[in-house]
Amino acid sequence: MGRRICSRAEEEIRDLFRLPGWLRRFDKRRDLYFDWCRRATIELGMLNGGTQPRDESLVLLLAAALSEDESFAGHVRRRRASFLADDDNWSQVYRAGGATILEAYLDAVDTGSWP
Amino acid sequence: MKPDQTGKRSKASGAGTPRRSSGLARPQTRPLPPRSGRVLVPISRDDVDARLIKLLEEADEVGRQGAKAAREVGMHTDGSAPRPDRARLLAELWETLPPYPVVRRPARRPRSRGGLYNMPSRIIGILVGVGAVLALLRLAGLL
Repeated sequence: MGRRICSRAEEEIRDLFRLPGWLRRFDKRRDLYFDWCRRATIELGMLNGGTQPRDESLVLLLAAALSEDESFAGHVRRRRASFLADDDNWSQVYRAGGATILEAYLDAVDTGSWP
Repeated sequence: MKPDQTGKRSKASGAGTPRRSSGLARPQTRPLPPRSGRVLVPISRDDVDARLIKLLEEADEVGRQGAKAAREVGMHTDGSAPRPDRARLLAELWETLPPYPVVRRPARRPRSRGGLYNMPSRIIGILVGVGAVLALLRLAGLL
C-alpha cells in the first residue's frame, strides 16, 4: 500500500471517473506522466533548497498537465456529463487526476516497477 | 500571505537572511549553513514566479504530448474542456512553497592572488620579525 495522496473528495471523483483505468490504459502516456512527476520533484525540490517538495505542489503541476491533455478530457466527459456541466467542477477532476497519478507514481517507485 | 523578498543579503548576517526593509516588521531567519560546498540563497518572488511559470509551461507540454500519444493509438480525444485559470494556479503553487524559497548555489571561493598572499600570515610575521632583528644587528655593527 503506497502513500495516500487523494483526499476523500478526490477519492470519490477518482472512483466515479475511473481515473486509475485511464492512467493504466497505455504505457507511453503513463510513462510521460511518471517522468513529469520525477522532473517536477527535482525542479520544485530546488526551490525548497534541495528538500522534497510538498505533494500539493506536484498535484497542482499534474493537474495543469491534465488540463492540456485532450485524452483525459475525452475520458471523463464520457462518464458524468452532468457533473462536468459546471466548469468549476473540472478543476476538481483535474486535481483528482493529479493526485491519482502521483499516488500511482510513488507506488511504482516504492515497488521498483518504475523507472 | 507570504512576505515579499528582495533576495539581497543583509550586511550584518551574511547569506540566507533576507534584507529588512524599513517600516514593516518581518520574521527573522537564521543564516542557512553551507552544505557540501554549496550555500542556500534566498530568491525573490519574481524569480520564483518565473520558475513556476516555466514549470507550468512544461506541464502544458506534457499534457499535449499525452494527448498526441493517445491520438497515435486511435484513442478518442475531446479538446473542449475548460482550462483552469493559470494566474490562480500560479498563486496556489506559490502557497505550497516554503515561506522563504531558496536555491542552492556553489559557495564562492576567495580568488587566489598567488605568491606571498597565499602564505599564512603567521609565517609572514615571523619572516618580517627575523628580517627586522637582522637589520638592527647590522646597524649596530654586530653583523
